[in-house]
Amino acid sequence: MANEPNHNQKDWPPDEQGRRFWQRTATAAAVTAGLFSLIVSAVLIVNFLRQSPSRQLLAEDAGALDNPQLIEWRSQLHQDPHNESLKQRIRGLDMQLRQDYFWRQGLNQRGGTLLLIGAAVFLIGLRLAESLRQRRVEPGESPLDAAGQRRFLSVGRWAVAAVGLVLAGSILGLALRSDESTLEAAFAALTLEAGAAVGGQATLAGGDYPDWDQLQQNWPRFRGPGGLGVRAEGDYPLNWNGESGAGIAWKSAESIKPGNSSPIVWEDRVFINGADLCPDPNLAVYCFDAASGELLWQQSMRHSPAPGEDPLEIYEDTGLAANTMVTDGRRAFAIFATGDLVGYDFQGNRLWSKALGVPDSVYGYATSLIMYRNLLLVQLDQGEPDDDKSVLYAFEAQTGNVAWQKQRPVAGAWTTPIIIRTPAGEQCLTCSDPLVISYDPADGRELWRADLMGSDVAPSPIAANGLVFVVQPYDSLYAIRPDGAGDVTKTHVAWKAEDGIPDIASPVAANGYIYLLDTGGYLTCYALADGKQQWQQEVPGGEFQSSPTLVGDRLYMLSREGVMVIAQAAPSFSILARSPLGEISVCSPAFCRGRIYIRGRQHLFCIGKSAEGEHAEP
Amino acid sequence: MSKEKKPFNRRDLLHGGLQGACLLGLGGLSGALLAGGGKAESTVWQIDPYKCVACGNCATYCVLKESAVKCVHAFALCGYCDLCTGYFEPEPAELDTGAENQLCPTGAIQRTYIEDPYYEYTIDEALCIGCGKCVKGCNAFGNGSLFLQVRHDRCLHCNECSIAAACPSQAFRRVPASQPYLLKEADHAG
Repeated sequence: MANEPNHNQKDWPPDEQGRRFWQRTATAAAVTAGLFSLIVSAVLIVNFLRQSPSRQLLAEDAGALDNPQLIEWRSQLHQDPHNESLKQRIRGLDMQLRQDYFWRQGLNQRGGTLLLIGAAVFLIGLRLAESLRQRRVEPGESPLDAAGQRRFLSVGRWAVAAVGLVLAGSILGLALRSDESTLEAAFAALTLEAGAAVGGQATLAGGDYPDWDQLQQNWPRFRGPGGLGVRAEGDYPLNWNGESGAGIAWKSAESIKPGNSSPIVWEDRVFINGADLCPDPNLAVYCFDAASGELLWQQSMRHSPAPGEDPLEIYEDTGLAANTMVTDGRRAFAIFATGDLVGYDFQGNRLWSKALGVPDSVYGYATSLIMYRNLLLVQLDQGEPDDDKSVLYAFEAQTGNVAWQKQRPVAGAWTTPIIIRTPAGEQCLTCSDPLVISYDPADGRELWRADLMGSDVAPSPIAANGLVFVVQPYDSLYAIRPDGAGDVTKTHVAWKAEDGIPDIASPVAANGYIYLLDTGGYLTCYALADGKQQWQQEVPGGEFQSSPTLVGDRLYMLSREGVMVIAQAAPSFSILARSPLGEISVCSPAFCRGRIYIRGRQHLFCIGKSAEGEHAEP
Repeated sequence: MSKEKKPFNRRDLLHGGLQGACLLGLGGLSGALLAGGGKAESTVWQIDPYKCVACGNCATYCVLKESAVKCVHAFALCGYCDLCTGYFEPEPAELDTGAENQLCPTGAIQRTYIEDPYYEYTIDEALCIGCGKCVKGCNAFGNGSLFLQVRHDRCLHCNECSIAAACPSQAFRRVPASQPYLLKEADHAG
């Protein structure tokens, strides 16, 4: 009987008794902790899922404490503000919701801690019980396996050493070069690659930008489609009087913030921006119903000064909102003299905004925004040519991400770029001191440049008859062939004119002629083909800062006093009408669907048939 | 006579691992020492209050169950108004502390009478969930003295901040850790 197993615990040796005791204890602890963890997990899950069924009735973005009953009662209280019973019910429910919310928050926090502790005890107990279950048996040696393991571990050690060296080298490289500018440059490079793809053919299929016909039907930017100041055809009013209201479809009743920017129009919406100082820049964007003039929405934002930024100096004649907005029919974008760039959807929701920094501009930043496909182009010229501060940005309209950006060796200017179509492709034409530079608008690659300009460039470039035209104020009009590469200063200037050169207003060209209107009111006509001067006339009306617009064969010229002088342009000059606005205006009007939109000093005017279909005659 | 190979045991494993770790550490240390001139200052996430549109994402997108974003109050900007549009619901029935009149869903703003007609408004951060309702109200009709900030005693400093990724106005940006807050100043009131 001596060989039979001993099942009597009292007969076990002391160390075996101790081992079995601790093994049972560890097992019990593991089981208890496991059950505890399961219960806590279940409570947390139930707490997570147990939302009031009524929350499903709320909007997706409803807050954690929003409750449909509470919202309903609050609404009822607005109708019956002295209903004390209702107030008590609201207070009771509000208290209940708050207590419930914070109780759940506390439960989550405490439950998480308990779950962690329970899981730890469970794992430790399990491991301990397993180790005490029976004495460990040393495995028998297998020389072959051990040799294999040694080889494997030897390779592993070398691998660890190699990875360590690689990491050390990486750390070293990063540490030596990890300043903010390097990181930003790295991110910019990545963004540039992404942007190039977005601007390419892939996005064409997406169609998230208007086609050519849509652009032509609207007035999406400064000086309309293409920025040329031309409306090929259309029945637009000749006579109106802003003071008497004759011929005025509507006039904005709202007091819009001041600005020298021009209105833009897309289908049934008119956009305009304004800004004032009170005492800091308060920047606003307005959207009006084109038919009725009703203010559909307005949004404002404040200028966000950069750390160490100097106090803003505003040039009074320019103001904070001389930059005309741009739209792609889905979104509308505005930039201000503060360098704040913002985009809204057509419902007035802000999509994104950027602070580009207050441009260093003598007369205040006034360049308008333009778009190329889904890219928003911002010509941010400032300082002097050697300052290396001027940049041409291309932002993705949807996201605001930088698609590409190019440093420009130019000084501050007040021109707005244009996109031109040539047989070789599209070009973004910019005009500043001292360079006219053409870029590929898809990726920002410079195509050609011409050293023709001087200081204080304000008239924007235009294109017509296969040529581009740039104006050096008071000095020269240059006609340039845009098919060059590199420096075309001495090779691609088709012709040059020096008489009647404007200083502010941009030229306009169509039907074989180009027209220049200087501030003093002298209108000069040249033939596009050879630059031969056709005639020069003095336009009565005082001072002209607004750029002229050609509608069919009629020139619309708005004087600073607000008098629109309408003249037959070619082949000879004759005045057809003079229509007063009744307010000072320096903006360029928008011509869209038979109506003219003019920003006066105080109001936005819509000239044309009223919403009821009446055609008011003066 | 064949040479008997020494069996590989746990000690060998630890020895080898330790050698590898030392090599790795040595590499890192040498890199750090050689890059002693590295100038990158650590940065943290913060909200630019002038870009914030108080959309409410801060309350829901933070990885913390209770957001690290809280409302703060620039007293220098505050008008101490009786009718505070950051405190009261639009068109409140009464200008008192009744729950039916309060905008804050958690009652995190305390309204204290100072002298007629001025009241002081303070934020109880323990209750604030960063929903931004008060910020929107204050910006709409007030001086904008209430605004949201990431509180760095709570923030986990995620490399990619979930709220920043969801921010519709790109108001989140990295700021030096030595100056982790973007506060509104009195001379910027508008």
